[in-house]
Amino acid sequence: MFIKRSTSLLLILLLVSSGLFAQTSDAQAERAKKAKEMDEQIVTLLDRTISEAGALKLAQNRVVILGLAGDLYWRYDQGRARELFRTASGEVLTFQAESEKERLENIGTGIPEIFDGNDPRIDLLTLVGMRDAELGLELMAATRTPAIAAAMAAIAQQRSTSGLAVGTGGMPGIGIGAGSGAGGTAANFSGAMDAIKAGQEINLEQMLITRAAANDPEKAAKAIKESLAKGISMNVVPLLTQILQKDEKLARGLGDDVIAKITGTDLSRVNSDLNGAISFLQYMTRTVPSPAAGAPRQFNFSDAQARDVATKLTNTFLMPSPPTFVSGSISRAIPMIEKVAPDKVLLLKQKDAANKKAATTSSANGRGGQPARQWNPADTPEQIIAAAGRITNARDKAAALQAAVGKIGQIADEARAKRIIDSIPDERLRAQAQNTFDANRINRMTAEGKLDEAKASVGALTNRRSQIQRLVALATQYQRKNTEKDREIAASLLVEARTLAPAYPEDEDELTDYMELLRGYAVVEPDQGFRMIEPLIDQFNDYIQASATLSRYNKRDRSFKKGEMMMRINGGSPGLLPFRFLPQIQSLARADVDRMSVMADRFQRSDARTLMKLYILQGYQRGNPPPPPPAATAPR
Amino acid sequence: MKLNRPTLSAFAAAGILCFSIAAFAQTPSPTPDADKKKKEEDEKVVALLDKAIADVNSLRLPQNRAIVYGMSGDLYWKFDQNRSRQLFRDAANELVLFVQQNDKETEDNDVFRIFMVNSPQQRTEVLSMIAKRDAELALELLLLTRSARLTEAIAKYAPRKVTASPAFDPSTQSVVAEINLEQRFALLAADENPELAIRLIKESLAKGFSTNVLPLLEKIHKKDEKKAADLAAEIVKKIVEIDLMKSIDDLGAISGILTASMKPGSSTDKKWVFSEAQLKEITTKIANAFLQPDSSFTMMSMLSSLLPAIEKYAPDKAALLKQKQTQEVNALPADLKLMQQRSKIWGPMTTAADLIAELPKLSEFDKYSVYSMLQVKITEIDDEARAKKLIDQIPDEKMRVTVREAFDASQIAAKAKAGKLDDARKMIGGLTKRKAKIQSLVKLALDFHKTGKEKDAEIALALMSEARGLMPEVIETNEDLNDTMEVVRGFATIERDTAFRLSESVIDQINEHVQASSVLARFNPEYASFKKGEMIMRISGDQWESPLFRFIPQMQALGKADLDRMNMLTDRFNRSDARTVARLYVLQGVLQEEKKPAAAPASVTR
Repeated sequence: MFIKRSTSLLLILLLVSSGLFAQTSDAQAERAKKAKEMDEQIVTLLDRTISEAGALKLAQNRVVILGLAGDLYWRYDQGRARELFRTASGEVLTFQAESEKERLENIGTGIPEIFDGNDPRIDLLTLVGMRDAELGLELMAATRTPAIAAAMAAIAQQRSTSGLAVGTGGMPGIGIGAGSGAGGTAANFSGAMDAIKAGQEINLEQMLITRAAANDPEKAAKAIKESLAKGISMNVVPLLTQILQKDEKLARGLGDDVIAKITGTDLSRVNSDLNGAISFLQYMTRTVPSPAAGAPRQFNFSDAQARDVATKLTNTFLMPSPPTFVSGSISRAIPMIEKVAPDKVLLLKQKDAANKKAATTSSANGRGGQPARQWNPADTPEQIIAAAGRITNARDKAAALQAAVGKIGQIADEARAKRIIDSIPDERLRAQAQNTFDANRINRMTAEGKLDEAKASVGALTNRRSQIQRLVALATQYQRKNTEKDREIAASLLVEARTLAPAYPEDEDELTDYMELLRGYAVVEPDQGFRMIEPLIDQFNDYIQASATLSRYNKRDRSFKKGEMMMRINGGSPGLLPFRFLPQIQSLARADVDRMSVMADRFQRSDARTLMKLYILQGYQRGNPPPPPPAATAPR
Repeated sequence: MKLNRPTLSAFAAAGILCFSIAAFAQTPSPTPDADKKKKEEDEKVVALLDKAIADVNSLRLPQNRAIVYGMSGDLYWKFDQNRSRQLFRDAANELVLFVQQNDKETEDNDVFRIFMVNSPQQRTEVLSMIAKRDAELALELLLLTRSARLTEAIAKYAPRKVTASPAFDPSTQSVVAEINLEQRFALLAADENPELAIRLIKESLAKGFSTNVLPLLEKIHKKDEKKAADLAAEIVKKIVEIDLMKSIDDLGAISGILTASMKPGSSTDKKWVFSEAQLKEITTKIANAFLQPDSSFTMMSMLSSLLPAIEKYAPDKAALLKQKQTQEVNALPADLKLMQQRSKIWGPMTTAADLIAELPKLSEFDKYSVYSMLQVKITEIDDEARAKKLIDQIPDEKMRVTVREAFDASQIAAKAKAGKLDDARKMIGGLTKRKAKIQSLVKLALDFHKTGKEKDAEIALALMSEARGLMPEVIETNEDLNDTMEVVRGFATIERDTAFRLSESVIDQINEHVQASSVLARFNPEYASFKKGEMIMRISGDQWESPLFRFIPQMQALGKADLDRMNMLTDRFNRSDARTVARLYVLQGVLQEEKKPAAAPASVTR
């Protein structure tokens, strides 16, 4: 009897499971079919967009469209993607030729363009490099302008010969004691811009070399040596870590080379070398967390090496009459030097104090515009508030207290935070600090999964925008837990946020709140998110059209040229309203790419429509990563 | 016949009498018709003003209401000064609301302004307009419209020491600006009431020095030499008594007073001059301050302009100060020293030849600034051959052409000014740039028209036709718009029908621009030209403004030519705020007194 019953049960189970199995495989097949259809649809859309790119007037826009299309194509056809990247780099050359022609034509008609914010080259190369670093390096060399090459050569020459210090990580002369007189600034401005461009080029090249050398210790070692020949850069640390996993001896030897480079370089010549050396010391003196099980070992320098770097920096800071970028960096380096070479700190502090005194008594000619004091990252809010009490300049005082308020968010100790907040001399800033503290506390609770506690605390916030932001963040966290109850809570939190946000935005502040709410709905209840964005499309169209109109009357306008919207790879066209809200639009695209695409069809201008559609596809791809490659079958 | 002295005198007297009678007969006496017409026109203007005043109620922004009341009050002055004063008071009441709102908004929206005080530009503009009519009233309204924050800041004001950071400090800047404004109004009040002006200036000096002291002394000097001398003695005494190291602003103002006192005046002026002894006292005081050990670089940068005075009145200190100046520069870090050296290129003593010599050493960005300066310096050269020789030395071909065109345009203007209109006309053909050509043609056409001769009027018209031929067919860019409006400016005087016809299309462009700006302003705080959906009005405009404010002179010229027709044109502005303010600009033009040409050519040379 028992056997009979068991057999029947077994048979039933077998039948049910085979039925379930059949259903599951059907569903999988259906999903695969749908995914395939979607892929085909995307490829068709991409092909259409690529063919439309030819109709664009501006070469830089063709670069953007071809680059983005290449990036999106990568998932479906890497060969075609590479071909698109190459075509885009050809358009970069066209852009450069056109820009040079314009530059020559415009001589004498206005202030020359020193830094073209619409140059798509660096963004394209970064995009290519993330897919294929070697191709990125190849296209980088192919599109490097003589001006950038000359600026790089100038930096190299500056390192090898005596002369004036140059900046690559920022404007030379900016900082305490810097000059801001009109003539003086003008005299150095273009040189600084060239140096910035060259610095950007060197950094990107290093990043691509690092990626290209990821799995090859020999290539990585070569890349480190090449990098050291160009200057001191933290880019070599990931390479050292990569080599360490495979060849510790080689890694240690290269680490010695890095230290030899730092100690053998005159750090007072090139700003980026000094910054690099300080960054290394910061890395060497950081608190090293215990490595997670199975995580790759991190490359670390020895204490003796750290002391060598600290000594080198100290000697540089103490040299007589150093350039302003050197004297302006002492405060930043002191906390690190103190950790490994405390005996040197007293002298440095004296020199720093003397420099600051000199900066106030003998800084530039006082036409205004000198930047307010930059607070040291190591300064505590208590120190900053105390210092603010002694500041008489209203702007500097407000900046100091604002810096202290910014730091309150990092404090977890409630009692200490309360003491600090109470010591702020202005009522509004006190309220702002309290709000910052509360908001960050809620963030921490949310991140730690203490969602109910976080939810209970939102009501205590006094700033409406903070309340909306926290409610939306909480709602998305609840939604992520993906139980029926949590989904309900998420929806109710957004209903609460909705009572705080405007029903329809009338100005910039309202739009910010409205779009924050939309960000939440795009995840929790996409249908509502689509209903919210729908009426905004007309506003977006009005805004783009008005921008196009005004650009005709403004030669220096950066959002349109020759009647065409100027596109960017990162951020679309940042001056134009709809592109400020790409995260929300991409979030909706993740939920329903078709519906978002139909919405994008309502953009009246074809340039805005084309670019927006690519961003929508990007959003969809990011939310729907390709399935992992099938696991290799275990050998029998 | 030999005439004796009495006979000659009698002839002369008779001659003068005859001449005077003839001259009197030639002076146009107002006819009843002209009177009637004038009266009608005035009535029309007053009616339009009343309409603008009535429109105020529809404006949302108090600063706009203040501007409309202020401008209306200014325009009413000619007809009814009491009504004007009432309108000025209404404007002030709106300014009170505005400064209150402004204080609150800046505190709410910008944490960096918590410790700052600002005095909005509209308040300064409206009060300055009132001061030109009634300076005493302006002084009263200055106090009435001062925000609580500004009043508090003035009470707390402690001057910046000379060793203070040169960084911009908006709270003290606003206080200094307010003190300067008060002194400026006091200066205007001195015309009517010197006693009051002296009292105010004394009160104001307690808060700080200003370069307004010198023109005030001049005004009082013209009315009462003794009072001026007494006030000057008091001022010098105060300068000698105060510690100059305590206030960089006082030091700057007193240095300004000294350098201005050193400038020679014309021999015919009843110019105020400090006595040699007083100048010596002031100079010694300043030189001693500069010799203090803790003098700052900000201070030292003032020194160069003071050295001539120090060399004259405190020669024993000049050498020491020069030495100190050299030491200060040598102590600078290498990069700042280089900046300092390079900055000399921007000094007033640099010649065009110096600039050309510097060009090869400069970057593209620096070259742009140097070329702008070079253009100014070369156009100032009288010797044509020398200027052309310098132009030929400019290495870049495009810049060479640009500077040459600018020089040619300046030569055309100079020839026209000298009455050599035909020579000027011939030279215009050599210009290649549309903007320069249109500007020169319009200017020359107006010069020909001004002679009043029939033949010249024909030439003026021909020149304007030539300018019109250069105008763009369709206005697509800012440059097109500017060039078109330059032609309108010429036609407004020479052939008003054409000017009105040309202006019609421009109204559409302005409407389009204003509307687009209002759309962007809703969601973009960078477009600060609108607030709460209303355009922020301006009393005056400049070339960087929206076209509505940029072409005020053209609107005024057209209004002057035909007020009714211009009003019809103004009605075509789509927005009511634009219409209201444009009507006031037009009335300003109509009521503006014709400025006499500075130096009209004695004769036209052909």
